[in-house]
Amino acid sequence: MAGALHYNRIALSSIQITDELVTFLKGRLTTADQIEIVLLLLRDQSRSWTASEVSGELGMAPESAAMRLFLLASQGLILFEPSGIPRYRYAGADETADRLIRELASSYATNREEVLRAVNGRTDADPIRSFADAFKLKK
Amino acid sequence: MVAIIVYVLCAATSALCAVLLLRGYMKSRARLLFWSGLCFTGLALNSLLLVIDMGVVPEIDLSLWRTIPALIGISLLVYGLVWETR
Amino acid sequence: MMAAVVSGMLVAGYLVAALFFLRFWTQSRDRLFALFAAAFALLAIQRLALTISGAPMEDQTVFYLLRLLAFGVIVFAIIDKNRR
Repeated sequence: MAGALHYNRIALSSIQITDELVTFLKGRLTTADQIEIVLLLLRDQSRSWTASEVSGELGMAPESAAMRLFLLASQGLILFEPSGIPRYRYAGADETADRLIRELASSYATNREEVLRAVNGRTDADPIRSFADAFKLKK
Repeated sequence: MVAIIVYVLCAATSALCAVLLLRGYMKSRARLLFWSGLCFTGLALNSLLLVIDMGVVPEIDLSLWRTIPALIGISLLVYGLVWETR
Repeated sequence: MMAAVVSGMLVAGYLVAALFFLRFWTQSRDRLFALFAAAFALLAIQRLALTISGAPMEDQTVFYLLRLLAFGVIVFAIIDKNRR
């Protein structure tokens, strides 16, 4: 496990995004789509997913889901299972990565905009997604 | 009479959409929502002026004045759709 | 004359918006956008019918029914979004 954990408490809307998490995310999971794919696979580690299942679940085009899954697998964050139709599963091999991704899951659930802003340095809110989300009445 | 009720409902629905979109804009800062919110405000005004024209002041014809808010609204929406989406 | 120009611009605007919403639907697979596309297409049709008919006021049944349908679709889209 890492020695000195450096916590920089950015108390934004009652959640704290650690520096360590931000460093981990930068360059690996910088967009909402990538984060949501990994978190989706984390939610149920007992099963593997195909690109079209992921695209249906998260509301993205199947081609971009397939591409993102492939890129995430090549980074080692998720496992690639070659079969007739490629399937992907959460890797969870690296202890540090696993801990940070679980931390990400709770931060992201509370306030996704703050997480994205911390990682990107600016608000990268997808306008299309934000438009649809605006119509959710219970916030 | 039924027409007035219908247009009141249309105004209310437009206003609801405007509120939801502008609230969403304050949360996400996505500019598309700002322009969309203004568009639905314009549509709400359009419906409202129509109700006034029909029910309150039937002697005066407000037709062009009614339509201008809708035109401005839709122009702002198209502007937002063109420039604020990837 | 001016009224026809303004109406024409409005119809075109509604249709362009509908096309964008259609694109968003194919990109995101979110049913809300397909419904908004339909609603704006209906608004375009209503405006077009009104202009062609030359009626001075929108109180005829066909005009307010089309408007009602368009906004009904939007209300349905909002309800649908919150059901899931």
